[in-house]
Amino acid sequence: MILSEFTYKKPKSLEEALDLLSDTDDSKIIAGGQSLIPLMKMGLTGFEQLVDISQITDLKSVKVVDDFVEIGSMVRHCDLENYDVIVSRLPILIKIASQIGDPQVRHRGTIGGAIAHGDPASDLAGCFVALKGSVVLSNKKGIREISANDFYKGFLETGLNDDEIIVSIKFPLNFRDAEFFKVSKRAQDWAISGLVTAKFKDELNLGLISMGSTTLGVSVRISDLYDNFESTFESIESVCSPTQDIYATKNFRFHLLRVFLRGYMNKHPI
Amino acid sequence: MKVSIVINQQRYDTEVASNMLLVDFIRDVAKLKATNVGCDTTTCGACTILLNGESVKSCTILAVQADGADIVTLEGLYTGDGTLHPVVQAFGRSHGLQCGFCTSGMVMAAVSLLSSVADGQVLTEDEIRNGLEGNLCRCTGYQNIVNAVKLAQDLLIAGDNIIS
Ligand SMILES: Cc1cc2nc3c(=O)[nH]c(=O)nc-3n(C[C@H](O)[C@H](O)[C@H](O)COP(=O)(O)OP(=O)(O)OC[C@H]3O[C@@H](n4cnc5c(N)ncnc54)[C@H](O)[C@@H]3O)c2cc1C
Ligand code: FES
Ligand code: FES
Repeated sequence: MILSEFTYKKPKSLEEALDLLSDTDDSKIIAGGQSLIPLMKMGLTGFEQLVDISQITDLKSVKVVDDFVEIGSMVRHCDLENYDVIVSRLPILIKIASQIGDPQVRHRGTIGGAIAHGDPASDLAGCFVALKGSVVLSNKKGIREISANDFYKGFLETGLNDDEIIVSIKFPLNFRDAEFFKVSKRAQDWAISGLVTAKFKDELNLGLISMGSTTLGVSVRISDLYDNFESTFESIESVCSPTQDIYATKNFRFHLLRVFLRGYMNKHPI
Repeated sequence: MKVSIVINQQRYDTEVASNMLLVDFIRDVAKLKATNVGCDTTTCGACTILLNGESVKSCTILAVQADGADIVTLEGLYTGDGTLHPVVQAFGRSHGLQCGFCTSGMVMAAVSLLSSVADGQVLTEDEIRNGLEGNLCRCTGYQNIVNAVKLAQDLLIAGDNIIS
């Protein structure tokens, strides 16, 4: 049950949506609603106006631009596998998205919502950081781009301003050996701990899931990781601040991360 | 706000509050009571319905978001000609339920799963279990539910492939 009422708007175009956001101070965007509606039920978010962006067809395209795949923010988790370019160039996204929640959640949830929400347990956000993606944001004045590294600020906090909409997410294609590791307690569940890896030349970029108050990124030299695992692991550990909750202790989360990294190294020996 | 929602081929044109959930619209406005609310936290799947042909949890959609949508609930699987939908038949024949609270959601999740399968593809037991991961059952231990979905798949392959 959701206690408070609000004004609901379902614009047909991006321009109309941006007008609505700039007209009212207290607006919220809804895409698939699979993160937002649970928050509304818990009374953790309230607003005057809800702007539903699901009818904006401009946000549903997938295209290759230069060395990037640019995915519209309203592309749902279940849609990713329908694009040949994602199947051939970014299969890691499909692997990750197909393990999010359950089929019902994947029929509604979108890549834009998963990136925008700023949940430390978001698997796609981990991928976005590991692959060194960027978000294309639009407001009435124009567009700007923020790199994944600069996007996450804290728990449910990102670099997105109130009058902005994520138009698309860009993933570069110059990485290799992307892998995804996730341990959760039950079917359909979020990660207790998760890791996405991507190799860029002689560095391994890591997207860390559920290892701090938001999605974390850290890059290590491949040679350091293989030759000097313990000290490299310590440097990774130092950027993490996982919580202790009913699912796992901090130490267990670090243990999982260690297992994931060893798993990566076993799969990609040098 | 005014909405126009088609449920089981019947159109409902009515005013709703912005904060009304779709499941409440189905149960309280359309008075269709097969769709249940188990958790209201997007976990149990008892509220699963088809929205434009795909399974969704109707406790996690606002009625206003469903304006213009085509919805099928468990009641909509009955065509009125005295025969049961293959998935419903299979749940009966395999004893895929005990108390029945999860059943409406399970059946709708299974209908969506089976209709998403490409021609000629047969789901394995693992794929069926994964496909039903959004639905919890506190009675059966799942085995008979999985058997029911396997049987439904066989019935659909053997007979007409039309499920809606
Ligand atoms: C039962 C369940 C299990 C789940 N399990 C997992 C899991 O295992 N792993 C995982 O990663 N996720 C999981 N999720 C979350 C799921 O991936 C959500 O779909 C996703 O986090 C949010 O996408 P959405 O489109 O539903 O966004 P919404 O809920 O509509 O929005 C979320 C937030 O993003 C903002 N927003 C949305 N789109 C935009 C945009 N284009 N521009 C600017 N802001 C925007 C909204 O204002 C809101 O603050 C789960 C969800 C549920 C309900
Ligand atoms: S009532 Fe909707 S998932 Fe439980
Ligand atoms: S039959 Fe009782 S919850 Fe499934």
